[in-house]
Amino acid sequence: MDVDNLNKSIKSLEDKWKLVPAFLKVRGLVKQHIESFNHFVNTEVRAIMLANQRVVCDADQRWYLEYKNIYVGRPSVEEGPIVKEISPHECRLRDLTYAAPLLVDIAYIRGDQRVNMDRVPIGSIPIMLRSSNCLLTGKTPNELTRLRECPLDPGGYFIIRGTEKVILLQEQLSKNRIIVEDDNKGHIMCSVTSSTHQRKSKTGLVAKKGIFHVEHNSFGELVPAVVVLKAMGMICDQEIVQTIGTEDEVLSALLPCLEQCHKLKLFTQNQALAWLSNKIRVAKTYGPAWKASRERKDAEGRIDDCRQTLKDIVLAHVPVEHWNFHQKCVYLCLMLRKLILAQAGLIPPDDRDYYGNKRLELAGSLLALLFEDHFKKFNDNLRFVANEMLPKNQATAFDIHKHIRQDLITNGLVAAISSGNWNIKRFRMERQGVTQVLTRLSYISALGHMTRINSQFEKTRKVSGPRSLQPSQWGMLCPSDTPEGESCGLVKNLALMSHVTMDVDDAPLLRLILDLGVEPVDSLRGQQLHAEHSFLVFLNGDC
Amino acid sequence: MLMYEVADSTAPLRTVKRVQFGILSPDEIKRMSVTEGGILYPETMEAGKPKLGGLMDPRQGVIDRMSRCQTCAGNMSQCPGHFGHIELAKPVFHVPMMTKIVKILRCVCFFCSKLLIDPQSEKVKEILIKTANHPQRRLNYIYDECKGKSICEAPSTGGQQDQPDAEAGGAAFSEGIGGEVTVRSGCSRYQPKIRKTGLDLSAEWNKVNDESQERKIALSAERVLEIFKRISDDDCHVLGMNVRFARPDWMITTVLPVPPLPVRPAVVMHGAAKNQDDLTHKLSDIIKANNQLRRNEQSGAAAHIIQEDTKMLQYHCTTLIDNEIPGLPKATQKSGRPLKSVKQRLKGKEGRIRGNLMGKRVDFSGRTVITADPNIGIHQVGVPRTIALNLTFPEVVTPFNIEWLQELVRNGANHYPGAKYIIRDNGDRIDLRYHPKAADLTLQIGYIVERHMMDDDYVVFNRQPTLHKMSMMCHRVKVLPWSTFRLNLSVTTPYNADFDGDEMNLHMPQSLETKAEIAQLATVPRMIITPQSNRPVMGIVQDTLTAVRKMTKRDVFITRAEMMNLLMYLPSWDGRMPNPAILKPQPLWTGKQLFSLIIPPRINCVRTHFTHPDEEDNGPYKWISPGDTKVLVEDGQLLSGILCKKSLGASAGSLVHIVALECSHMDAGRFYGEIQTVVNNWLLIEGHTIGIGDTIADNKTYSDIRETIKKAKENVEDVINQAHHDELTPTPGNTLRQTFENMVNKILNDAREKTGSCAQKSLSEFNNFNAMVVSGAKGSKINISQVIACVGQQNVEGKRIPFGFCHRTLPHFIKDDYGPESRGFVENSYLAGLTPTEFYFHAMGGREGLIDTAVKTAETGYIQRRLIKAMESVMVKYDNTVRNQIEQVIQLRYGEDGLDACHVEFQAVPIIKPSNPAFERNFRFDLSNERMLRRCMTEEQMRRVLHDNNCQQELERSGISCRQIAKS
Repeated sequence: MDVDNLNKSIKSLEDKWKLVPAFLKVRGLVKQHIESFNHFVNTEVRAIMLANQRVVCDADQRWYLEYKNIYVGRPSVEEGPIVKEISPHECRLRDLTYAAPLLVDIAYIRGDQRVNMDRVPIGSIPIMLRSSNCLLTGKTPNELTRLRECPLDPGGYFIIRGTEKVILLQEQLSKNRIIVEDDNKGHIMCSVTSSTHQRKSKTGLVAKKGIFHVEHNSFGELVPAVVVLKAMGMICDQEIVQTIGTEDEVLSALLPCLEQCHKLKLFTQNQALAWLSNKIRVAKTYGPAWKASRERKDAEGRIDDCRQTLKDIVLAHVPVEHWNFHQKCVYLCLMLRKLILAQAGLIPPDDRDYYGNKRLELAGSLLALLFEDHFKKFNDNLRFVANEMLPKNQATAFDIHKHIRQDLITNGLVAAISSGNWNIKRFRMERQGVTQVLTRLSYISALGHMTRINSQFEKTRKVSGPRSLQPSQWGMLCPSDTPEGESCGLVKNLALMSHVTMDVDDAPLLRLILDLGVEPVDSLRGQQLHAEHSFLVFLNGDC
Repeated sequence: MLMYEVADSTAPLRTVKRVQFGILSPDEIKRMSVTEGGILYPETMEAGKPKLGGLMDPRQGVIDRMSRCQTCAGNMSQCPGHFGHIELAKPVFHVPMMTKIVKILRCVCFFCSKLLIDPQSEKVKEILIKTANHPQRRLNYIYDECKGKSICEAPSTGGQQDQPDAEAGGAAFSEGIGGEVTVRSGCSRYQPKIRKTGLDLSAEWNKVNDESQERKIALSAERVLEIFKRISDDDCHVLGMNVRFARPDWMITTVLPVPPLPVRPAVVMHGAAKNQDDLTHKLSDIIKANNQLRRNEQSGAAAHIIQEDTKMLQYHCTTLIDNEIPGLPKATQKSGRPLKSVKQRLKGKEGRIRGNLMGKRVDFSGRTVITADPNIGIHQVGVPRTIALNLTFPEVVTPFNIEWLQELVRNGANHYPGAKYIIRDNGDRIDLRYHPKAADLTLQIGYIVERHMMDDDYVVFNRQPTLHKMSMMCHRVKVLPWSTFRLNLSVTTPYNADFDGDEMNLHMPQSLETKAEIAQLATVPRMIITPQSNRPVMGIVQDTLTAVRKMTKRDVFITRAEMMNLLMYLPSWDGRMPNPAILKPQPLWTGKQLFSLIIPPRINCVRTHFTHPDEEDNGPYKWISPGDTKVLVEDGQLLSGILCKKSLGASAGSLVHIVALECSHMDAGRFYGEIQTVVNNWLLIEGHTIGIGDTIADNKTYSDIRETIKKAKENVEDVINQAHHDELTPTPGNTLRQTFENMVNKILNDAREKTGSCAQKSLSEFNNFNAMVVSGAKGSKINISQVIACVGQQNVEGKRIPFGFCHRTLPHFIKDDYGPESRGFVENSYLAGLTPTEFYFHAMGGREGLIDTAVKTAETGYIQRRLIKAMESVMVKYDNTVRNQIEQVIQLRYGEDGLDACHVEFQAVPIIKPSNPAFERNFRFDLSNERMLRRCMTEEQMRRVLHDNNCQQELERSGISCRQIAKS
C-alpha cells in the first residue's frame, strides 16, 4: 500500500471492503494477547521487582537482599545439568511446559561481604507463543515449517504440560469510577477502587433517613459522610457546601447531614477523627506499620490508625501527599453531589451494562497479578529462611543463594494456568475458569477461541441486562457471535477490527493535559468547580 | 412369570404389606450391630490387616474382592453389609430432629417431665379425638396449648412438692417423683424459655421458685435426655409420638450406628493408594473426639474442657448427617472440598431418591441420532442392525418354536438373526459368544433363549423431555442397515423432534406381559388423539403436505402409466382402478380421484381451504366454490376442494380426526402411511423447487412498497413535528410520551402490514413460497412479507430500541432522534439487504429471543415438574369418582361430566346460530305450504299428514322445542 493512497478518501462500498483484510494483515486477530504479554514481560516484571526490591529480615538488621535487574531468557528446558532451547512443538509432544527462565541480578550479604551475583534463575515463566520472547517470532514460513509449526497458526496461547491453554479475556466493571445506581430501595453510589499493588476496596454512599453515610469495610457500620469530611480536614461547613454545590436541591439535602454533625458535637478535625476511630473495625492487613500501631491501643494510636485508614484504604486511588486530604475531600464531595442530583432526578442513574464502563483484562495483566503474588511469596520464603538460619552460628557463612527455590514461582504459575483457578490473596480474588484448553476442531474455531471474552457474571439466569446486546458494543464486540443456551450473551467475542489498548504510563499524559490548560483541583475551591462551563477531568480516577 | 435367580440375594421373597417409619432406639442399634463393644479405634488397618474394632471392621462387610464377610460369609456381591455402633461417651443431639426436640421440651415440664397441660382436660380430649390419625398435627395443637404455660401446675387436690434440684448446670438431677395418684400431680415450678442457638440449647427463667437457682443455663444433651426419659407413655401418646416406634428420648443419640462397609467403600486410586470415603473420614473424627472425651472424663478434667470436647463431638456428629447447616462451618477434606454428608447423598436431583430410586439407568435400552423415513409406517421404528444385535428378548422354548430358536442359536451371537444367551432350567447362563462348539447346544422345552431383536418386536420409543404421554410410545421394530433410528415424519409432532441431531431412546420390554401392555395401551395409532384438546396430535407435515395441495388442484391430471405406478404404493388398494375422469383423447385421472382411493370408505368431512374467502359461504356459490376452496369428502370420495393443513393437519374435525374416530386405530395408522407413500411418489413425478426468482416481485409492487414506506415515514415526521411544537394532545390515560410512542408504533405497524399484504397479493399461483405457505407446511404470511417487502420494527422488551448511549441508540445518529430509522424500524427487506445499523438493531431484537428461550426452559420445566408430582396418582376409580392415592375425592365425575376427551367431537348445530326470522325461514315446517310438502314427501304421506291431527300437534310441539333450544 503506498503512502499516498492512504490519504485518498475511500469512495465506494467495494473499496471499503479492502479495509478488513488490510487491517488483519497488519494486526492479526490475536495481537491483543501477544501485546499484553510483551508488556508484561518487558515492563511489568521489572516494575514488580522494583516494588519489592529489598528483602530484609528481622533477625539481623544488616542483612539484606536486593534485586538489581531482571530478565526473561529464551524458552528452554532443563535436562539434568544441561539447559537447552526447545521449540513449542517439542513441548507439545513431550508434555513439557514452554517456559523461559527468569533471571535476576542480586546483591546480598554473605557473612561479612557483599556479593553480587548475575543471572541467577529464580523460576520460569510460561511463554506465550509468538510473543517477543518466543522462538517463533520473526521467522519466515520456511523456518517455521522446519520447526514443525504451522505458519498460519495464530499463537497467543501457552503450552503447559503438553496442553495448549488460552487465557481468556476477562470483562469487568471499570475500576476507579463513580457509579450511581439504584438499589431496590434508595440510591446507592459506589466507587470501586484499587490502588496499584496495594489494596482493593469498595466505598459506598448511602442515604439513610435523609442523611448520607459512607459505607466501607474498614468501618464497622455506616458513618455519616460529613464526619468523614471533617476528619479529612474540611472543617468549615460553608466550604463543604460550596464544594458540593449550591443548587437548591443540594442545599436542602445537605441540611440534615450538617445538623447531625452538630448534634454529635464534632467541630474539629481531631474530634472527628476520635469519633471515627471508635468505629473502625480491625481488619486483617498487611504491612509492618499496622502491626506496630496495633500494639498501641490507646486513643492516640487509634486516631493515627484512623488517619492511616482514611489515607490508604478509603478511596485508595486518590493520592494523599503529606497528609493533605484536599483532593480526597473534593472527590467525596463530588460523589455526594452526584448522589443528590440522582436522587432529585436531575441526572439518571448509571447503566451498569454500558460498555464504556467496562474494561477487559488481558493475559498480561492477569499474569502480572499472579506473578506478583508468587514473587512476594518467594520473598517471604527467603525472609523466613533467613530468620531461621541467621541466628544460628554456622561454620560456613549463610548463603542465601543456596536457598533459592525455583519451583515456588514456576509451579505456582504453571498450576494456576493449568487449572484456571486464579487465587490471589492480596486482592482476595478467587477466580475459576480463567483458562481453557484451546479448541483445535478447526482453524476457525482456534481463532475464534482466541477472541473470546468471559464475563464476570456467573450464569445467574434471571438477569437479562448483561445478556442482551448493548448498543454500546458497536464496533468492539461481535453482535452475532454468542453461544446459545445458558451462557447466552455472557460469553462474547471481539469484533474483527477491535483493538485493546494497554496500560500507559500516566505521567506524560498528565503533563500533556496540564499543558493544554487543565488545572489541578487543588488550586480551585468550591463554586468554581461546579460552574456552568467548567468540566472535571478524571485521570485514572482522580481529578 | 419369568423369574431369574437374582445373583445377589438368596433371601426368600415376600410382599410388602406396610411401611412404618420411626426412630431407632439405642437398644435396637446395639442389638442390630455386629461389632460388639462398639468401634473404638479410628484407624482402619493395623499392620496391613483390617483391624477388629476399627473402622474397616471385617465383621461389618467385605473388605475387598477376595475376602468374605465375617458375619454372614458372603462374598462381595452377596453380603449387603452390616451395621456397627459407637458408644458415645456423652449423649449428643440428633441435629435434624432439633426442632422437634425443642418443641417437646416446651410441652413438657422441665423438672418432672410431665405434660404442661392436663391430659384429662376437655381441650386435650377434644384434640385427641380430632387428630386421632394425625399424630403430627396433634403435636402442633398440644404445642400451641402448652406454649403459654410458664409454670408446671400443682394439681387441684394438693399435689406433692418436689425437692428442688441440686445443681443447675451439672450432671446430677435429683428425682422428682410424681405420685401414684391418678390425678395429675405437677411440681409447680416455673418453666424456662428454651432457645436454640446454633447447635446448642439454652434455658432461661423469668421467674424462679427460689433464688438459688440460676437464671440461664446451657442445656446439655444429657439433661434433655434425662427429661425425656421420664416422659410417661401416656404423655408420649398425647404428644403424638408413638411409644413403640418413636419415643422422644430416642431423639438424643447415645449410640451412633455405623454404616456398613458397602455404604462407604474405599476407592483404590491408580497409585495403589486406598482413598477412604468421606463418611469414613467423618467417622474417624467422631471416634477420635469420642475417645478424647472419654479419656478426659475418666481422668477427671476440668468442666470446661469436657464442655469443649462435647461440643466437638456434637459438631462432628452433626456434620456426619448434615453438612449444609447455615451458619456452621462446613467440614472439609484437606483439599478444601466440603465433605458429602448423609443428607447430601439423599437429596437433590442427583441424590439417592431422585437420581437412583425414582429414575435409574436401565439395561436393554439404546440411544442414537434420529433420521426421517417416509417409507415406514407411523407405528414402526427403524432400528439399526448393530443395536438389534445388542438388545435381546428372552423367549421361552415351547414345542411350537423350538425349531426356529434352534436355528437362531446355531447362528450364534454375531450373526443376525441369532441369540446371545441360553438359560437352562437350572439357571445356568450360556454365553453364545464364547461357547466353543455351538453345534452341540441342543434346546429343551423350558429353556429360555435370549434372542436378538427382530422385526415386529414391540419397543418403547421416547424423546426427552418427556412432557406428555405421547412422548413415549410403543413402536414395532423394523431392522434396517446403517446406524440411526428411523421415524416416520408424521410422528415427529408428538415427540417434538427434528432431525438436526436429536437423539432418542429405545427400551426393549423383557416379558410377554409388558409386551402386551404396551401394545394394547401405548401403540402409536392409539395415541393419535390427545385428550388435551380432543384433536389429533399427528398430522401430515412438510413435503407431503405441500405435495397434497399441489396434487388436489383442479388442473392436475395423471396418465395411465403414472396412475398404475402410484397405485402400487397403496397397500389397501383392492385392485380395481376407478374410471378415469377424462376419457378422450387420453384417459386421465385427476389428483382428487387418486386421493379418494386412499380415504377409507364411509368417511364424510366438510372443511375449507386456507385461501377460502369468508363471504363465499353466504353467496350462491356456497357449494360450488369457484376457487375450489370448499373441501367435500363424501363416502370416502374427495368431491371438491384442495387439501391443505386445515384438512389434513392436526386440528379438531380434520380428515385424519374423522378417520381416527370412525375407523379402527389400525386403519387410522395406516391412513397416514398411505397418504405419505402415494403423495411422496407423486411428488417425485411432479417436483417442487424454490429459487431466488420466487422472492422477486414485479416492479409495480416494489414501487407500491416504496410509496407506502415513504408515506409512513412522512407521517412519523409529522407526528414528531407536532410533538416538538407542543401540538400533540395526550390521549386519555397516557402521558405525552406514551401517546407519541403509540401513534408512531401504529403508523409503522400499519406500514409493514400494508406492504406485506401488497407483496403477498403480487405473488402468482406458481410462486413456490406461496405454495408452501398456502398448504400450511412451512412459512407464514409474515415470512413472505419480511423477505419481499419490509422487515419491520425491531422491539426489545416490547418497546422500540432503547437509547443505549446518551439520548441516542447508536453513535451514527444525532441525539434525541425519535424517528423510525433511529429507533429500529428496518425498512429494507431481507432480499434487499439490511444496512449496518439496521443489522445491529435486528441482532438486538433477536438476541432477546434467544435469551428468553434459554431462561424460560428452566423455569417452565420446574413448573411442569411440580404440577406433575402433585397429580401423579390421580385416577378414575371404580366408583367413577376421581381420587388420589389417599382416596381423597378430587372430582365426583371425571371432568365434572364423565366424558372421555378423546371421543369428543365438534358438531355444528345449525339451529342455534341464525337469527329468529332466518330460523323460521329455514326450519319451519309449514303444513299449509303444499308445494314445500310435495318436495319432501310422497303424495300418500302428504295426505296422511294433512289429515291426521296428532301428526300436526307433534310437528307443532317439536317446532316449539326447537325454538326454545335456539333461544337459550
